[in-house]
Amino acid sequence: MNSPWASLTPDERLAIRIGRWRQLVPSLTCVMALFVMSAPLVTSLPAMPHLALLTILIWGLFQPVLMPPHVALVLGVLTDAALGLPLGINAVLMPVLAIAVAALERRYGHRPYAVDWALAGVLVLVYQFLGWQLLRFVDGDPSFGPSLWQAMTTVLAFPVVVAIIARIQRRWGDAS
Amino acid sequence: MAWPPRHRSRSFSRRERNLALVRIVVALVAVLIGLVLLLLSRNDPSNGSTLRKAAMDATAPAWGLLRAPLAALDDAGNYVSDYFLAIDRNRRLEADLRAYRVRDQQRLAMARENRQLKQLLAVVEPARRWRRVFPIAAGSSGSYVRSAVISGGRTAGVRAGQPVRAARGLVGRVVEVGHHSARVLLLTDSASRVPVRVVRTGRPAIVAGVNDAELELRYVAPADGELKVGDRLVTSGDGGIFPPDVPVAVVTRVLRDIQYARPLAHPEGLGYVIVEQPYLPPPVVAPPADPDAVRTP
Repeated sequence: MNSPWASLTPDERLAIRIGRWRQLVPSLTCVMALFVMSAPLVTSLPAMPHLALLTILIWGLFQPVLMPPHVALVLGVLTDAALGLPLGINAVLMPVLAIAVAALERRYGHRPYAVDWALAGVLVLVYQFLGWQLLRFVDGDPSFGPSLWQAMTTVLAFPVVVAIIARIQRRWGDAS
Repeated sequence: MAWPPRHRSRSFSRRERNLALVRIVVALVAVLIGLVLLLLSRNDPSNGSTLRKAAMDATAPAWGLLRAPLAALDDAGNYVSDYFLAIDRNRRLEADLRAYRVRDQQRLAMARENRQLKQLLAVVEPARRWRRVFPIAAGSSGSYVRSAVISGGRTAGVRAGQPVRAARGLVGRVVEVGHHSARVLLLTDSASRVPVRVVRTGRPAIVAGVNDAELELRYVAPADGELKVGDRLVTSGDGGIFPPDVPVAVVTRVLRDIQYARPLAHPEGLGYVIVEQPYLPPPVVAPPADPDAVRTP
């Protein structure tokens, strides 16, 4: 059998294998977002937007192929670890978000930007609500107010993160 | 020709259907793994602490490096403003100093009297042995957890349970310790409870965090209408973790059945913090030899 892969020279195969690092670009963006989120700016209000959530959401909107649910799971576990949360909160919600965004993208692709933003707003709000419920399930009785604050700053941060990820995607992300 | 073509080759569509099925299964498995992790954390909150510590050790040094130039800029700004305000401040401080000299005489006399009384009563006070200063290396200002990471860990002698304070007042306590970093649970976290005393009245209370800018006062008797806005709260030393008489918060709102206080150490301004030993070592409780022996009949 003469498959395309078998007909390549070793050098060409190596080049393709190295070129696959581009599939890591969305994950690396999310890790960078986690790093920014853990900045030593301890504010009295939860004003830091959930940037990691935004990277999952936006990569899901731009290139659902590069943000499959199993990658979102790994990133969710990393998010929980980096933010000092009980493992499992983002680890459940991020794959669910990736699935939901991919389904929306398949069903209604090519929306205007304002619709994207509104959609992101709704998804972020639902995400924060479910996160609050899961945290209540794991331990304690936290109030919803702070989650609402963070949802608000996250929605406001959406255009900025979209601009950054769009640049990253133009430069490195067109791997698929 | 119409697009998409009406008759696609069968093998191609079968392959596509199989791939779609695999994708659905992988997605479901990913969500399931997440749910299992969640259940494990519910059973045992310490589950995953190794991963959290590793993440902490990875981020803290990097932010420490990035933070250095910013801190230098901040210092430069302070230096300039200090220079311009020096004369005003000097006059004010000299006036304060004259007042404080008088009060210091009274304080010395009271301290002497207090020492004598304590000797008479044979009061034993634990000494504060170990303390070190660390910069804040990272924070977590998300909506679920209010914590900060300091850039000193196990190798520097930091242990879980140690109280953390800043120059202005109490900050929180150490909850997780990595090699070169440790996570501090801030007063404002909803898991934080600190036993305090109202300075003016001496009443005990508990300040609890609610993941918000303000703290809630609990276990103040509702009939006690003596709490006023502006009352200062200090640690009472109950529980043995926090040393007594460290400033904690100021009462900001007194409603009918709930009171709010604002922490004195503003989390925005935390640059460096002091880590101390727990005030009293945690008691060693020996488990009863025979569980039936202690059961009440």
